[in-house]
Amino acid sequence: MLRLIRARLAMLVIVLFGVSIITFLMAHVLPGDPTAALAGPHPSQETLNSIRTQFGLDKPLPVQYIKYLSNLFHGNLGTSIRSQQPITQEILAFFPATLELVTVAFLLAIGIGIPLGVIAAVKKNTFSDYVIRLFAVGGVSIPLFWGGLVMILIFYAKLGWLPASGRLDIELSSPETITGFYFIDALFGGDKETFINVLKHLVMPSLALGYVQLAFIVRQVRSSMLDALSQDYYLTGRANGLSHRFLVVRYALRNALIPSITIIGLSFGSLLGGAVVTETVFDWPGMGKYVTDSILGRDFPAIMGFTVVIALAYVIINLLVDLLVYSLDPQTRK
Amino acid sequence: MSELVLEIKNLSLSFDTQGASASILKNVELHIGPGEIVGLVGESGSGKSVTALAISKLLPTQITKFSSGSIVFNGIDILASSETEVAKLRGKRIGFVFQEPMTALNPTMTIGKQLFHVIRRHSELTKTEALAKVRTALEEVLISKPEVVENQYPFQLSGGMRQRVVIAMAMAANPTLLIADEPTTALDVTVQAEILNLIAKLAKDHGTAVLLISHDLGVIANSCSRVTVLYAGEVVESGIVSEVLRKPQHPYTQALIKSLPDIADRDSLLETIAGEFPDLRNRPEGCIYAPRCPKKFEACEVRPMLRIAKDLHSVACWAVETTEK
Repeated sequence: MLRLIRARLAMLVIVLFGVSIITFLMAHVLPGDPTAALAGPHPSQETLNSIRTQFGLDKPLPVQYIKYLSNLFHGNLGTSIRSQQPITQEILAFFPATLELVTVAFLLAIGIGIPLGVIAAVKKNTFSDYVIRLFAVGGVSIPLFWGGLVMILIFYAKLGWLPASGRLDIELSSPETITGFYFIDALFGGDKETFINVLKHLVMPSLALGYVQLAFIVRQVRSSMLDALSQDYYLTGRANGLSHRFLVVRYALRNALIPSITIIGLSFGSLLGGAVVTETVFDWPGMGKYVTDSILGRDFPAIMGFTVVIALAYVIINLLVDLLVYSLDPQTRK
Repeated sequence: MSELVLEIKNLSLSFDTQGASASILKNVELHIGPGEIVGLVGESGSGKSVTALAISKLLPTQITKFSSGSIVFNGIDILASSETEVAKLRGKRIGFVFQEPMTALNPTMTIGKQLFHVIRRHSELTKTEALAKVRTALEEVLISKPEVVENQYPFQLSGGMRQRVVIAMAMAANPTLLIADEPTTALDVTVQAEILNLIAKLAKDHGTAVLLISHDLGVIANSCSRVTVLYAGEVVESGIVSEVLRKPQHPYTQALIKSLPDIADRDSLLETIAGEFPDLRNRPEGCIYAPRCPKKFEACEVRPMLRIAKDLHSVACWAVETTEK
């Protein structure tokens, strides 16, 4: 176990090193001059030069990179060209909102997707199976932004059950920051009204975002389950008279989860991508908007910072997936 | 004769998939008395495993269609019983050992736990008693270090060891009938003998009747008292092992025995059965073996019934009848 974690952490350093090089180069190879964007219309050459010197953009690329890397090791992602603020702080301000949205969407997708996948497999080629599969096809084929808008139309505009934007009603003050997840912070804060309000705000964006993932999970679990249900050990279990429920859970699902988890975990990255769209539709104050603005403003340090953080998240997710598989599959523990 | 443990009468079934129907078993007859070891032989696709699975109603329900006959286990009409009723027999009254020990055990559960759950399922034992039973069950199948093995996962055991565990699970509830479907086919020859001896010993100790399925006549000869020969889902011959194997009546059984390799005779070519296995989607009207049979004559266009040629030795062949007249 410890060896696995150590090996993975070593990998993490290498991956982040690679990511830093790639993002750094990409940012500098792409056309467009950030100084021009910053200096405003019709700047003089002197203004441009002074800005370049100020941000170290006049130095050779390797020198710029080494400076960037050493800052990175100190947790310093640089200074935003647009806002002149430390990017680390900006990301810390926006990231928890995105992470909260993505995590809740992911948990919903798992919590609903796995049982549905199991039911579809156990009741293969029956009405329940068809309905679940249709539902899953919907998740894969309905564009996220459209699904989100339809939800807003129904649950906000028509029924008025749920709020359409933001993390919290304006008249309520945000809960004291402990984790950065509003629903957890509100729970600790003990304010029932805030907590319920936060949950209400979470429902639509997380469902819209989670639906895609859910569809994916249903299909994955269904196919792994079908595979497990056709295995010899399942037949042996049946021939030994074990109960249906026990067989489905401990024999089939337990084994089907091993391939599923790996794939589901890796797809977590696509949730982060989907979050950008969801945040736009539901006006969620997360990383999505921050990144969009950074890209439009050619704010290279901010884009690089975002990329590094996402890469870090991705590697950590992979580590968690590995640990989970490790605990589920005795063969990996040998 | 005391009451039969298993009596299969006139059993016919087919697998119906969209548009196509394959007749897998046709008028199969088989019976097993208490404590008796009966062999079921036949080549691949002859319906041995289907017969075995049918006894516990483990065939895929969506495509399996029973068209005639009955399976009576200890006086219980299996085909007329509900899934719940049959499920109560599985593991408790009817034990099963399958061909492939490498995949027959749940890969993510320790040996001890798998046995434990089977034991708990079929008994009123407390947790502690069941755990103790796990130990003795493993000892009974001659596993030398049960305290180690019970904490191991299947992938840590050899094929022979796994098959012992599978046998221990099948015998855990002391069933009346043990169905062993090619239990040694996937194993080394040396291990094969050990497993067969183990099954025979357990059956004797517990008074369990055994249906031993094999394509290996040697296995059948060593272990069984009676044997039924299956060809393309039909019983062609059945009787006391020594009778059937020494004096086979049916041309198929004769050909089967001739096609056994002889280690002393390395120069001559191995005898094979000419022709092809019949297409079960279009089962011929007459004798199923006729297309490949050297003794074929006009009568074979009508399907021969299984009839007694000698004491307890039944044969489904017109040629046998005529030679005896």
